Amino acid sequence: MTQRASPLLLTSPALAVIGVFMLVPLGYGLAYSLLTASPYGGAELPLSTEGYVQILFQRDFDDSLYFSPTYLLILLRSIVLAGLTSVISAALGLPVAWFIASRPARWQGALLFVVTLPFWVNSLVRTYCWVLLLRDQGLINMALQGAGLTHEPLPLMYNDGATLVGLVYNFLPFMVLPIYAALERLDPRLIEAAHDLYATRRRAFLRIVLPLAVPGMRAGALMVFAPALGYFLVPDLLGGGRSLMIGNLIQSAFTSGRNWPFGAALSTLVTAGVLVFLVIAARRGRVEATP
Amino acid sequence: MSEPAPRKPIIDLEGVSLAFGPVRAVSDVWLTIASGEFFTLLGPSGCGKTSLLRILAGFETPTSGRVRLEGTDVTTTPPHLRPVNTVFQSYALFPHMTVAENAGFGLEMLGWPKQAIRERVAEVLALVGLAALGDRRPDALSGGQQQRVALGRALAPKPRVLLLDEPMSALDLKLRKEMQNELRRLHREAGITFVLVTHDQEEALALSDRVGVMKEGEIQQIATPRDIYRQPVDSYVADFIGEANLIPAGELDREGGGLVMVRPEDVSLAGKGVPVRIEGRLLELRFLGSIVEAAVATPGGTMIRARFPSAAMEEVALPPGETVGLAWPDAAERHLER
Repeated sequence: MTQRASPLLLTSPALAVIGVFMLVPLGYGLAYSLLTASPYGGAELPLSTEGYVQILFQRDFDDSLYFSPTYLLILLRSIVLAGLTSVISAALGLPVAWFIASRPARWQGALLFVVTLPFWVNSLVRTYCWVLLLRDQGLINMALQGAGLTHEPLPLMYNDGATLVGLVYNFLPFMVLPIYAALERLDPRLIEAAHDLYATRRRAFLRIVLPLAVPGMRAGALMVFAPALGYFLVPDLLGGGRSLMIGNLIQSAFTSGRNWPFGAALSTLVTAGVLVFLVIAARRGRVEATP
Repeated sequence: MSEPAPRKPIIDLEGVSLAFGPVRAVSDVWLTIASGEFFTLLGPSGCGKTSLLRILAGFETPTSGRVRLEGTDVTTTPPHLRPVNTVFQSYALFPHMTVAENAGFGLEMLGWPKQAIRERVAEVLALVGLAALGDRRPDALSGGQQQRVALGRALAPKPRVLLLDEPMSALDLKLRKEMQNELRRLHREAGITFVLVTHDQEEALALSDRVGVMKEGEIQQIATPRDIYRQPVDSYVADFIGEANLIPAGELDREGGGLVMVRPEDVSLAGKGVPVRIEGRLLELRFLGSIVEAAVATPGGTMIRARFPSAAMEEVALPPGETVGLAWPDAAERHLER
């Protein structure tokens, strides 16, 4: 009897953690998205789909709905920026991971520590450092003008480019680590074998190293895309008002906008979207693993 | 120094040395390997045989000396420009490619047309007995099958020389015997030069046209398996190849010092009318079916092993501790300086 009960008993702590920290908040979010906004924040009955309707439509003075692409565009920009963040991180992360994986074993631990070093500093502080670098009187513009290359400050801040730089900077380690994990398992003799079979360095990289790094890049893309999609700190500081992402919209809905159901509806939408993305990625991974 | 090679030379090593910092992995090797020869580098681990193979493949550049391939100096030529292929110890098959893609990789890199690659891959997979498994991934194969893929992949581009780095070390005994036969067949059918690295002296003797015995980065002796066994140049080679009794010459009342080597199978217990070479105390007599093995300690403290057909022992039944006389023919002994 006790023998039978034990599997459930042993998994119960994990189930409890998942339940308390994942399912309950998600349930709350879903519930709030289906309530009516109360005038001073919070939400109240009756049930309503108004939060979801507001994503696509706005209400005219006579209460008729008309289509408004504003939020849709912000959502689209978020997806594009998060996607670009994944792609750029992969392009930058691969050489970094390869460099670390090809060092002697005693150096690899130290180098991995260096990669994760930014995690020890508050993300707000680090993002604000980019403000100091990119702003009109920032280091980059001062240096360019000092060198006589430009005569007035380049507009480096408050645009999508600045947001992208900040996102890549924040999430690059999440890409480096899984690629490293994939490359670290790569037997260096495979590369020797490729050279032995008449492959140049470039072709050995393209045919052996790159394909074997792809699973790591795929895992890294998931770990970068999902959090980048909903990030609000970077677009807030570096994008200013001009490069809003979905995270900023959710944040303002809960704070200044006092429209909790709308914020909850957006959150639910993002969560569902990421979930669909994860399921597709997991399916593809499984299909490729079984030839 | 290099021995005169019987056929047209394909590989010439001229005073090749390789040092890793203060460690000399290969030191002043002179070696000529003939076209079509099956040559084996034999020695214990760390003797430099694998380093020498890596120099031939182009993975290491010698610190000094020259490597010639068909007369052309290839000392600094990178691996992908040498008409030489390697079978790696751990096979190093590409895990993300099928067996056929592995086998065709070299041809693809050489720019063969697709159709020609397909034909050559089919030919090579048939040669190594894997015709039906072209679509499998390497991890779905047994160790012996992976070994065959590695062989096929290295043979597909028709290299001038095939290098084999301890190819059998990961296989069990039965499979190893099978692969040895397979290698001989492939050598015969492919008609190219094989250079094998191994620490297994039996494998070296069974497969090779000539064997080079290595010790601490130097080649001690290069000869045919028969000559290496019958006429080793020193006690190291004598001891490494098969079993050898090494008896100080003084114990046999010989002039000039050094050692006298006799193989155990040449030593017998001296019967009537046979001159006794040396006497000793019988320590042990072991019956091993078709043969009997005797261990005898001489007064000088040397242990001599003798191995003879058990039929020759039927009339004698000696208890351990007895003093016995040992005999061997003149032709069986060899005088070694060290």
